[in-house]
Amino acid sequence: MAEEKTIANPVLEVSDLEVVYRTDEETVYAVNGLSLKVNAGETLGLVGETGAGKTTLALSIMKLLPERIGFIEKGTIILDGINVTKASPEAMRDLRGEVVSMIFQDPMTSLNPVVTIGEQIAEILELHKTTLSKKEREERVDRMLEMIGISPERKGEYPHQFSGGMKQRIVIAMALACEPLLLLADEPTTALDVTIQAQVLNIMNSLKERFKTATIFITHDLGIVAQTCDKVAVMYSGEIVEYGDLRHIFSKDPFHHPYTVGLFNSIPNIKSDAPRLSPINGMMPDPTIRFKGCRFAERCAHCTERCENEKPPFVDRDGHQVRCFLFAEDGEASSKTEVQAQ
Amino acid sequence: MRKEKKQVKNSKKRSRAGMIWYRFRKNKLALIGLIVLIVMAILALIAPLIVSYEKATKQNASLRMKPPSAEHIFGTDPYGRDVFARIIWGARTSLSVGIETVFFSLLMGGTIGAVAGYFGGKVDDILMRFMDILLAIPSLVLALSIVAALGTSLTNLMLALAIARTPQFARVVRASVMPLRDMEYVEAARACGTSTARILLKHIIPNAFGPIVVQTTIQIGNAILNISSLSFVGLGIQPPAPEWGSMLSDVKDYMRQEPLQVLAPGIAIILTVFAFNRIGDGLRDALDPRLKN
Amino acid sequence: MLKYILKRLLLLIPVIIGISFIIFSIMQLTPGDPAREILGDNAAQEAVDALREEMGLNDPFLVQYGRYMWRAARGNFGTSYQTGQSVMKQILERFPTTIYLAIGATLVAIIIGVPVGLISAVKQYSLMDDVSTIFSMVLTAIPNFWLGLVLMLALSLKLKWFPAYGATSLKHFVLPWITLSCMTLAVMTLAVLIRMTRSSMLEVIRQDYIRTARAKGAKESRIVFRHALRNALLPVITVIGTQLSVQLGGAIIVETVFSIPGLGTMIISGIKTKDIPVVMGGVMFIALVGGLVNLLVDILYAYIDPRLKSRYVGTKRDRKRLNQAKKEVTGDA
Repeated sequence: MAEEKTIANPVLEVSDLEVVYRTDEETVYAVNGLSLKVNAGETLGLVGETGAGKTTLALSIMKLLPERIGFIEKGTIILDGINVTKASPEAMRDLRGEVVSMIFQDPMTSLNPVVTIGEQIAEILELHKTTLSKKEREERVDRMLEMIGISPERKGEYPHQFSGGMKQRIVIAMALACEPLLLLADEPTTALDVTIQAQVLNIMNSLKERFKTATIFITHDLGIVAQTCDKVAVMYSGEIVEYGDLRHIFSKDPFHHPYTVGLFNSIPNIKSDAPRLSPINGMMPDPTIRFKGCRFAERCAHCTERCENEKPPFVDRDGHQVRCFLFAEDGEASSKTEVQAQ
Repeated sequence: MRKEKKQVKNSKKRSRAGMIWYRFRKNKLALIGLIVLIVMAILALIAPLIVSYEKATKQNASLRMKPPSAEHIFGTDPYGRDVFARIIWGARTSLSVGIETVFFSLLMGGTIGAVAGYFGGKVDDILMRFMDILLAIPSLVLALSIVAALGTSLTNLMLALAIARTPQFARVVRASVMPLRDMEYVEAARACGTSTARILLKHIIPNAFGPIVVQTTIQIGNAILNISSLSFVGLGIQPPAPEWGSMLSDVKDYMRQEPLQVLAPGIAIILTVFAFNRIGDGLRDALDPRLKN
Repeated sequence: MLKYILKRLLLLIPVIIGISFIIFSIMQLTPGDPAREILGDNAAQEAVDALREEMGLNDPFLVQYGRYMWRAARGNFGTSYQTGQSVMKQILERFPTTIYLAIGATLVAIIIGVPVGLISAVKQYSLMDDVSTIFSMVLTAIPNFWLGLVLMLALSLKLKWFPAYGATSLKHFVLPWITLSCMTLAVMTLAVLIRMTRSSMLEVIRQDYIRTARAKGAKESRIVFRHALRNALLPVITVIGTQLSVQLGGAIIVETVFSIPGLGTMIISGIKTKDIPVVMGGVMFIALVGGLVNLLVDILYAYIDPRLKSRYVGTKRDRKRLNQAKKEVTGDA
């Protein structure tokens, strides 16, 4: 992707975001002081295990958190110059679909079963490209269908008449029909077969390149990240623990967050002669509890007293940021043994 | 390790029963229902202490259709019986007949459902097909025909109503038993040579407890409604026994004179049925919060 | 589609046989001798015996049942012990009244219940939602005969808007009277429909495709009417079908309250006079109509839900494509 283009204007700027889910019985702290920037045309991979708050982040950007349960407590989300956290419902409606689109995990359920797929794609144009005539709209639907490899003839059919991979392609066509600036893809291929996954990924990549759409690609599959992303953010328990270019994250350099190391160690590697995978011990901390210190401390092999009581700062090396005392200049932890390379 | 302990302490864990009660209590309507029912039940239990049965049943021509007074706070009915006494004693009738009926159908339906769900296959097919057919007949019509055939006695009424709602219980119990049947702890019990009846009673039924309790509660309200309907058309509880539905049928032709006599039994029925329904709903939400919308 | 309807009709047969068998068996339990019932207490024993033989009452149970069903299949439900009239004729005379009542009540319930449930779901947690929820809860607890009495008391006796009893009074009185009985009968269905529409709508609103529609930037009204309503109404339609047959049962009580000469009053008086053919015929007829209504509703359902429609109603081309798709899928696997 064109390097020059990605330098300047950020499409999305999230700063110090805190999101909670509040029910009668408990409060879940889903996103805890997260900051993030996505530039035009750039693809950011958001990695982390289930429950890390990836989807919550995406829903916050769309301002589609579950009503009466999900709340943005703090922070700002600036999307194309507009502060989403303060935007009116009307303003948000104009943004959704036009400036930012989202693809959900399960294509089986994300299409309305009683509306034809043609109508469902046309709807987004009808909502945002109001200047288009009906004929132009239909032509555009046909074009979109062709791009995703589905015959325009079939636009009068209902979702149940398509396979899972086709449905997800339709969802992609729908999301990109208005050529949005930012696409949020929430594990778009997790629910699909491996063979279909590649197909859907290819279509998504070619479309987003064509429309110059910036993307946040949420996944827990590091292989997909390697294939599609320019930047990577590793999320753990509602925070970003490591951020950098693709090559940074995948480098053999020991400059990594212990969680990232663990994440890489838990994928099988055919070249490695390690007899076993090494999963990360323990589980993600209880999200109903607020922590003073590092949220990974409990599972971390390098945990110190300080990690438990103080939030580690981001250590920046050449744009590659790691949130760990191991590498902090003043840190006592930095004197400890190096993190083992993956 | 140290941390884990702290976590357990921090997340306010309650016992299961405590949690159910906590959730139930938060449902205001269910709580109101429970209070109404407790009051009703107490009134029904201590009815003999409040007013004599005789006052509720003995006809007295000189006291016909008297307006409310200090002695007869709801007035008297067309046969000179005290309406208040009949309401209180009626609570005794409705509650006892309603509860007994439903326990009887729970017993029948529960057995059928448990057997169908546990054995599956042909047994399941035959039993449930039969239940579906029973279900296809409106329960009131079914109860009516049974009463018609057997004659109008209290036992027959209860039998009729119990049979009429057997399919509902069969369905609920079967639905709860089916997924449990293949659970590992059941397999384990079977492997140990435990008898089928024992497996059903000890391992399966207790786990199907929630839906059964909910269904039972709601069906009691339902049965009370049916009893009063049948009594109203003269095929339920027979006079002079006090029952709310038959009270309404007694005053039907006199309601212009004493509207209160129409209102009182009706409100008694509504309160009782409402109470059972609310408790049932409250229990369902408390037992399985996922079902709540 | 025709195949589907035929299949459903065939499926109805065992249900009808089952119902009739159950009802017939129950009726056999009735104490007393029908022949004695017809001829009266003073008739000679020989005459009674002769009549028993003539009526086939001495035949084995299954023979009697078979004969009854054979006749019933040709529209002959026997003759009333009381009047000697054909039961079928009585049913046909009274049936329209009951069905009008049931349909009227169902319409009242739909017209009020569906919009109320819908608003209640869309404005969840609002005052309107609380009011309608409590309203429907109270409605489920109201015995309909009592409501009938109260409505009669209030509207006919106190306000003198309508006459209280009978369907045969002056023509211009019939309409308001029907309104009254329909309202009474509508109550339970109304409660069910409010609850059902609300919960179905809430369920649909939680679905992913609604979130997709929101993500497209669609307005709330568009989401409700274009995306949610049709999906939400599918289960409601099924409920309306089952409710119509419940109504036929409820009509028995409501007809008694308002002294309406329908199937319900016929069955009740049949029970009281031990007129078995009348009771049998009435109950069978209600069960049969209930089954047919449910069938109609299912067909309607198949037309509204595209997932079912393409299975049963689709054009030849659609079916061909569907089969092709199926092959592709199975070929892949």
